[in-house]
This record gives sequence, structure tokens and C-alpha cells, in this order.
Amino acid sequence: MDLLPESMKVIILARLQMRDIARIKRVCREWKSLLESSYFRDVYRTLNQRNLSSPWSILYRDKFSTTALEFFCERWGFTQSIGSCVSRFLDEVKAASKSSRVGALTITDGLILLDMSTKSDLTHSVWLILCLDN
Amino acid sequence: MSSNMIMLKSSDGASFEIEEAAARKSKIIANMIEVECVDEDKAIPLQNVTGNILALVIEYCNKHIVDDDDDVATEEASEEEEEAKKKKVDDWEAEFMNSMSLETMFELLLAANYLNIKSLIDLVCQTIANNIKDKTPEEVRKIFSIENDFTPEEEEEIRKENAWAFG
Repeated sequence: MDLLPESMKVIILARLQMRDIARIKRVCREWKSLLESSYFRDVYRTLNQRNLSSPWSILYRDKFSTTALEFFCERWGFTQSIGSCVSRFLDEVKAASKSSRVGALTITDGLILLDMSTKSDLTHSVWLILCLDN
Repeated sequence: MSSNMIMLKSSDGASFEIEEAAARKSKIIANMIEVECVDEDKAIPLQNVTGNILALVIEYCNKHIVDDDDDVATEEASEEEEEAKKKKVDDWEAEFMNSMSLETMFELLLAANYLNIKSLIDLVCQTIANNIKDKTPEEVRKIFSIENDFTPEEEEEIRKENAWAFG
């Protein structure tokens, strides 16, 4: 891998899915800084043909209503990595709802499925986070 | 079909004859042909590509030029035929990449980048990425001989930050 210039490493790594990208940041300093660079984000978006106005959309459904909310980069401080954004988002959800448990159920290309169960009546809410960016 | 042949010369002096149509898979060579830089009796020197890698590039180009010709000939082929053909190409590509070491893949990627052959860049990148998919950081380090240069504390911090992805 040392043989390759950074630009080549980026076009390889940008073919991975988000779950892999989050995990392999731990490989070494160079990979972490590559994966968190704006250059990587641009290449990722180009390769994955994501070209939408807001970097994040969050769809929320509870038993009373279906609400679609959009959180823009200002709110989430999108200068940070997606990992810290999602961590922060989960913390806010926990604090706001005092739910007993909230976590990621599954992640697929560009989508994160969150599950939230409340202490009081054990109902489940499912959150779908649409990640339109790295 | 034009059967013009052109000569390519690797950095270590090996010469290869290739059909012009196949060589045109490389945008760089296609441009050279367009501006008539190519002298029929003289080989095109490729200073960044060794003979063993150039042989692989030519194998790929030859295979794919045949496929492109097929596309033209059977424009009205049924969907099933199209699918069967695509599968044949996919199988060939899988076999082609399967016979290669990672080191060779890296060199092939550099050559494809230098020669500007987009479909080959895509193929090699995807194959290398497949080696990373679903692997732990420890496995990835081992596969690519990468040294872990994080302190245990730093590594734990990154693990925590990204833990949501593993739930």
C-alpha cells in the first residue's frame, strides 16, 4: 500500500461502505486522516453519486405521527467526522427522551437504522438516518 | 475492423505488439494516436510500466476490445444474452484479478492510472477494497503490512467514537 500515492489510496477506500470506513479509521494515523479529509468526502460523494443539498437528513417516526426532519450541517457541525456526529446525535436523543436504550440496528450504504426503546412502556421507535455524505 | 498494430515498450525494454483498437483503451495512447505522435515503425516508450505489468494491461485491453466489438455486432441481443455476456466478462475479470498478488495489484493500478484506463482502475480499486471489506483493523494491518502507530489510548478513543457502527 505504501507504493501508492494518497490519491490512489483514497479512490480505493472510497469504494467501501460506511460501516467499513468507520471501523478502519483505527488502522493507522495516515488512514484516519485520509478518511476524515474533505478530499476523501468529495471523492466518496462523486463515486457514490450523492449530490444532494443537505449533507444529512433524518427521518423520524413515532406511534403518533410521521415526521421528517432535516438537520443541516450548522446544527451538526459537519466539520467533524460522521462517527462523532452520530455519537453526539445518539447522546442528544438519550438525553431528550430518557429512553433506556438507543443504538444502531444496522447500517447499509448511506443509511443508518437506529432503534430506540423507552423505559415506560417498552415501545420501540425506529429512526432512519440518511447519511448523504461520508 | 482496423487491424493496425502498434508497438509499446516497457520501462525494462520489453516490446509488445498490440492492436490499435485495444491500445485505444488507454486515453493517453489514444491521444498520442490522435495527434499522430505514433510512428508506425517505432515503439511507444512507457517509462513507468514494467514488462510484466504491461503484459497484464495488454491482456486486459485485448479482452475488453473483443467485448466491445461483440456489443456492436449484437445490438439487438436479448436481455438474457446481455446478462450472460456480462457474467462472462465478470467471471473473466474475477479470474484475472484472482491470479494476482496485492503487490501486483498496486503496480497494475499505478499503470492503469498512468495510462488512464478508467475501467481497469475501477476493477483494481474494487478488488483491493474487497480485501478490506468486513475485516477488523487488525486483519487489515496484517494484509497490507501496516504498522499500528496509535497509542492504546488513542485507539480506544477512535473505537469509542465509531462504536455505533458495530452495534
